[in-house]
Amino acid sequence: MSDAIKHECGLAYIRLRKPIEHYLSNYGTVMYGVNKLYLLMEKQHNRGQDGAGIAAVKLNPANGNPFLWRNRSINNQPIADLFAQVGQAVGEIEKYQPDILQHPHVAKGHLPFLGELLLGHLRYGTQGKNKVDFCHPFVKRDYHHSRNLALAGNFNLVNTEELFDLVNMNPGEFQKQSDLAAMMEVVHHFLVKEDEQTPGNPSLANVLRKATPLFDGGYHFGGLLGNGTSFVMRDANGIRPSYYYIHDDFVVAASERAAIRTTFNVGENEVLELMPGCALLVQADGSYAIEQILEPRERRACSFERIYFSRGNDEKIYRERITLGHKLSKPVLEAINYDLRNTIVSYIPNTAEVAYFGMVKGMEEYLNHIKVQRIMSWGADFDEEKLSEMINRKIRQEKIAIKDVKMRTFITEDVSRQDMVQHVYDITYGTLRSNEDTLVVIDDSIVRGTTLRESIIRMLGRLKPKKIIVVSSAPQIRYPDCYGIDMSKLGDFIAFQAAIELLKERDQRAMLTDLYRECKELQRTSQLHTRNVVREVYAPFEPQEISDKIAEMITTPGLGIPVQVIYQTIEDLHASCPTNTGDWYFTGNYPTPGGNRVCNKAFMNYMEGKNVRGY
Amino acid sequence: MKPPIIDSSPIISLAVIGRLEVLEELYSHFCLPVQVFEELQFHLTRHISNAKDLIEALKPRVLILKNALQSERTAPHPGLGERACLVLALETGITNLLIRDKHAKTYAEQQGWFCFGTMALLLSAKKQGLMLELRPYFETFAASGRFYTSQLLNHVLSLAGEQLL
Repeated sequence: MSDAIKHECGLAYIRLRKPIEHYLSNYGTVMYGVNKLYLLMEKQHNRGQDGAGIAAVKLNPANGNPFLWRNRSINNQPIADLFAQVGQAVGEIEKYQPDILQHPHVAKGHLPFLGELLLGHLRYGTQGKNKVDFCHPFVKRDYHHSRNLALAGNFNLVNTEELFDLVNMNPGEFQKQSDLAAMMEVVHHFLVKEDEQTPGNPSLANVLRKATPLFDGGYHFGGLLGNGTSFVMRDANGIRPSYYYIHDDFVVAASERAAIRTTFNVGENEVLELMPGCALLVQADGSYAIEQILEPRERRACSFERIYFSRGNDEKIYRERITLGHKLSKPVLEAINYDLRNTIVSYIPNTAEVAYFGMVKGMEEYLNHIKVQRIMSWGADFDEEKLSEMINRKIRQEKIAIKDVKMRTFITEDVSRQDMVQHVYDITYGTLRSNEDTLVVIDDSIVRGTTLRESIIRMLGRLKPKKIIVVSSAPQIRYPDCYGIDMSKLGDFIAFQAAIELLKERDQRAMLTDLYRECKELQRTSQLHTRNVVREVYAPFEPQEISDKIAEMITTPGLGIPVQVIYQTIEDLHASCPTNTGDWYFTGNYPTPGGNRVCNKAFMNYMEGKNVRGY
Repeated sequence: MKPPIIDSSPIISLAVIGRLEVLEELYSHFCLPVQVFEELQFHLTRHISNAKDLIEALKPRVLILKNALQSERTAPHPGLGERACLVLALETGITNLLIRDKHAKTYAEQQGWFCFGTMALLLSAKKQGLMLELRPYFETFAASGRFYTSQLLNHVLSLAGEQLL
């Protein structure tokens, strides 16, 4: 991907269902749970590297012992840092009791994080600053064992202020900046009430039934209670992904199916999707249940998970990315006028690689069809050379763009800085015939277009292709996200900028002021959530007009090479990713009321020149 | 009461509430085996900000077992610290143990020794006027994530004549 949209967060949950000694005798180590948590987090490191955190609850602790552990890190390699600390603690204890790991009960008493309930989190901050305090899990401690709570999640809530009001809490500066803080207050509020009803054994299902209807957003979150119960839950629209796996010895949940499969070496169908509005509840005795906590609403699972965020080694995601690319082969063939002899295809590393394979497959299918037709038309009129020439025709593929390590911008002078920025990508020289070949490159998506303009197009231009065609496996990104992806500022989007440019060109700029006034009025009457006003900005234009303007805008001045942009259509996106229909960033069709509010707020921020998020 | 042998857990609990000096005030000659001291170095540095000072203060109290090798046969317990406390009791004839571990307590009581825990120590401290109220310390235990059942805490609070949780 050329525009680095930062990933969203990831969740890892493990509940050991047997006593610690079972893991020593059956898996050879008392550290089984911790080791698996490390793997489960590492296999999801694509979901957040701003920070990481882990929490553990030890079952049946002795009086006087710590039972709820939590550690967080914003180190450069936060996952490695956290588990290095765990390993260091083991090493220190082994210095005076070398055989401690052979004695599960002693080890459990002394070693931090040697608990039966484990929760891990990978953070990319869509809200709050990048400080360790903002890293999940958050922990709430209490005298009453069952009211101790560790909470973490992959989510974004758009009504945090309301949530604090609902529990009569005046949030401090820190809490205002964290939606997890708001979520924690609400969940804990209902946990205490439930614990008052059934001391020591509050019903987690009841707590979640009271707390989660208040949340406006997309979420996949998990919690550990001091009394040994725990849960993982997913929002009613299924916006954020959630998967789980049940084994006699453990229960696992995570944001990505492939992470569970790899960590526990299990089959595709053994890892199940936690359905929208459901919670996986595990009791202190290790028994579990899947309960419908919220009535499921229209399924709107985030399609960006399939396009880009989740790791492409998931069986279904891989196939969907192939299909996304495949769907684009037809418009690409049309754009090159079916001239495969003079076309080179390539991709922007690294995540667009799978869609590239799909696009090439589609083009190969066309080429093979043509080969068969031609050969059939020859009848008996061919020789070995003629036949050989025909069957050896291939789609011309090259590895053109190379992503270099992040360039450090140590030069502040604008001109020199721009010169450095273009070197984020490099090219393979000698891969195409100057002024003869058309170059087609596919990317996952085009968000801001900055890297394309400042680096990729400029670099590709050095090869002097006849034409450059940039293909996006995602549709035009037109609207901000507010459910966990860091795409919140309208003015950043190249599609929005293109629409604004077109409005200017057609002397329709006044429309923006009218829409701004409408937003202000909606805000005044607390109706900002009722309508997505920003749709009006795009309404006068066909998608192709916007694509053409984007092509113009990403063309480096003085390049002298025509640039074309081809986007995935919404219809083909849905056909490719049928289970992940969440498309609000492409269509403005938000699954929760807060979405329209955030979108309109983002527009108002743009009009007011405020460079802040709309939530 | 005779000066006791002390295991690591009660020391950590007192350190967590910042009242380790109570040990000195209650039992001027308490002692601990070197194995417990080693455990303390690990745990205190993880739980207490002024761990270094506390570790230095505890050093003079450390006793070395005369025959550590026989300890496993004499006092079977997988935890090195607890085992060392039991062996030290055998070697020194000290029969008061401030120790929390259930298995170690069972063994000690079979020997006819007297075992007590952190809560008994806190009650003694209150009785002797070294602590005005226990409840604030219980809040610190909760805040620092140390486990005590609310039943136990309420029982102690009732014995101390304080408001229950």
